[in-house]
Amino acid sequence: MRKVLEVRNLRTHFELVEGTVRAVDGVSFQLNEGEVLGIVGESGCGKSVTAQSIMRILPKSARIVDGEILFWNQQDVVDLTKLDSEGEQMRNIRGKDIAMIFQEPAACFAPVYTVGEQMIEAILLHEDMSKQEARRLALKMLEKVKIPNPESVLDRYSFQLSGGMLQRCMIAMALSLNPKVLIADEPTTALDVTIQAQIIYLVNQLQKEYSSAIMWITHDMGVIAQISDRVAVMYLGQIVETAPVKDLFRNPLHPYTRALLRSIPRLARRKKKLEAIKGVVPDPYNLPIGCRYHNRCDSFIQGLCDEREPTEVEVDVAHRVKCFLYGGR
Amino acid sequence: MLTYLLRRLLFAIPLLFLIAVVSFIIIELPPGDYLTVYVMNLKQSGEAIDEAALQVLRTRYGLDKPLLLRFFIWFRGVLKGDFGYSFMWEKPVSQLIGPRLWYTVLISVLATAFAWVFGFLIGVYSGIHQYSIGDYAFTVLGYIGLATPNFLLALILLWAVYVTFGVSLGGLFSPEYANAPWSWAKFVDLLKHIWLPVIVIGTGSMAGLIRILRANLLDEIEKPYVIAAKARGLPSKELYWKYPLRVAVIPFASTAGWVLPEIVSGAVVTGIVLNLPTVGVILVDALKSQDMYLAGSLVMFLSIFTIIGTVISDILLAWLDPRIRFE
Repeated sequence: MRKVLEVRNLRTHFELVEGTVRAVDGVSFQLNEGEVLGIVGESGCGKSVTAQSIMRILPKSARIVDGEILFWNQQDVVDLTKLDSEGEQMRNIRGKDIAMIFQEPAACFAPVYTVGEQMIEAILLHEDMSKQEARRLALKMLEKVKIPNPESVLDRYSFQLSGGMLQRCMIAMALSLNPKVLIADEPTTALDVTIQAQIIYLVNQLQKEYSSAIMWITHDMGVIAQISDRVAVMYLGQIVETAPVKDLFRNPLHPYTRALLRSIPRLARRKKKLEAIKGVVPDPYNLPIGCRYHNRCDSFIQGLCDEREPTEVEVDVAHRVKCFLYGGR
Repeated sequence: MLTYLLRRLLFAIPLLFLIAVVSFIIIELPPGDYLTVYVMNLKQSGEAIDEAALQVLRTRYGLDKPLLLRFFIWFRGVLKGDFGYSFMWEKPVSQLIGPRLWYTVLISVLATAFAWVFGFLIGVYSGIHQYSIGDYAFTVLGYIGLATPNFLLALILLWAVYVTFGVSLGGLFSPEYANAPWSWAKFVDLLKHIWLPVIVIGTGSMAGLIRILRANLLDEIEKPYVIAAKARGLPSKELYWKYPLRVAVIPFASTAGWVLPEIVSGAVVTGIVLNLPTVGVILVDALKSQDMYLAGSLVMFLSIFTIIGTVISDILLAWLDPRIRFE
């Protein structure tokens, strides 16, 4: 398997009036050609900031302070953190080689242009073709994402279409330039479950055809189980466990992953009270010393977890965890 | 779009009629009429009152007829372009307000253009360069502009021009051109004078527009569709013009409707201070002395301006914002 994207020790911090928020703090992972990597974690754990760092579309207050984001483009490797975020090289990668789909499809289309105008714009930014050709390509893509009446949808405005339809349009737009990497930042969160299932099915189908590598961000373990090949679990700006999807669900190692899996409601065990992870997520301005999870952890070791930060250990093939229970001293 | 336009224009006709009725009633509301005011003035100056002459005047002006009848006589005249007779000025209303109306429209249009052009440029600058020195400077200027009454600004500018250049810029023309026929020199003289009222009247709405555009732009810049467009690879300069600004500029169009009538009615004090030949000034006099045909006609014109302004801004809005067009 060949790597397309590798993030090494990425640190993205927000400089705010209230203090520094270390939203992403030493994240490393790799994305291989044609695979789906699920990134899971609760809100505020840095999933989206990781995605925005890769795309270099961070808000003004955020800064990549350390790390590398390596992208294999044809023959050469580029470190995206070294590029000017407004420069031509980054702009050429953004949208063409690495495309992104977002959470709220209705808000991601500008209300003053038609869906078609925005799709055609995306194509023309990167491809040297005429407007008619771009329109034909957009039309072909809408057919691919199974939109009924694609011709009329092209001339509609976002407020005339449903969320599910718009998410299909966004996927069509993202895939129209056949990107190497597709970053999906909670694309199904704002949709209801039936539409969510359709979108996941659709992406699974299209992935076979386009063989883009997908980085799928979500907080939903159910979605992760359905879509990903490998999973990275994030907690407070760090990846605490990475594993192939089956390993993760059968043999979760990190106490946080275990707690997450235990807190999924199960219909079979009806009368049991739903389990929740104890405690609350710590204040982002004031991260705990040592392991970030220690104040909520069931297996907390006094004098170790609250003093030193564990290093990542490879427990099994491709199954890595950041916890003292498995070494990491 | 065309049906929308036609519907808007058709609605304007009954509206105008209603406005005419209401304004006429309001003018008639105070007890007495122009002749009572006239008699009072005569009494105060100790002149004898000739009852027979008064009666002649009363019949001539139709003041002995009931209100409703008077309204229809006046309204029928209006439809034919005859706006009645001003008691106070002893002239037909149309003669009186004709040129004033054009000067008012001229000053209004220039002031609006001034407010829009500078409001737009400064608003965009402030929105994109939030918290920069320029933004702070324009914000301070903007608040001063909003808070200073127009007449005060007019006085300050008049004084400043007088002190530095030694000329008085009151009115629209220098005395030697005021009654002269149109010529190139008169036009140049007009240009020399008109900038002052344009700035004075335009500043307030410009300051308002700056605040509106800046706030809207800041709201829009963070919206997901802007980030999505950026993620497609759109360069940031194009991004600002094409996306957030395109949405932020919509409220600009919706204010277009108010500007015209606001300038006519709101600039009365400025008009008096600067001695401008605009309709606002004579409207106040006409209302004070119950010069009802003059006042009624002026209110009619103000309403027509308001409706024209609103229709224009509705058309602009529908053109700019598909959400309105497709409703």
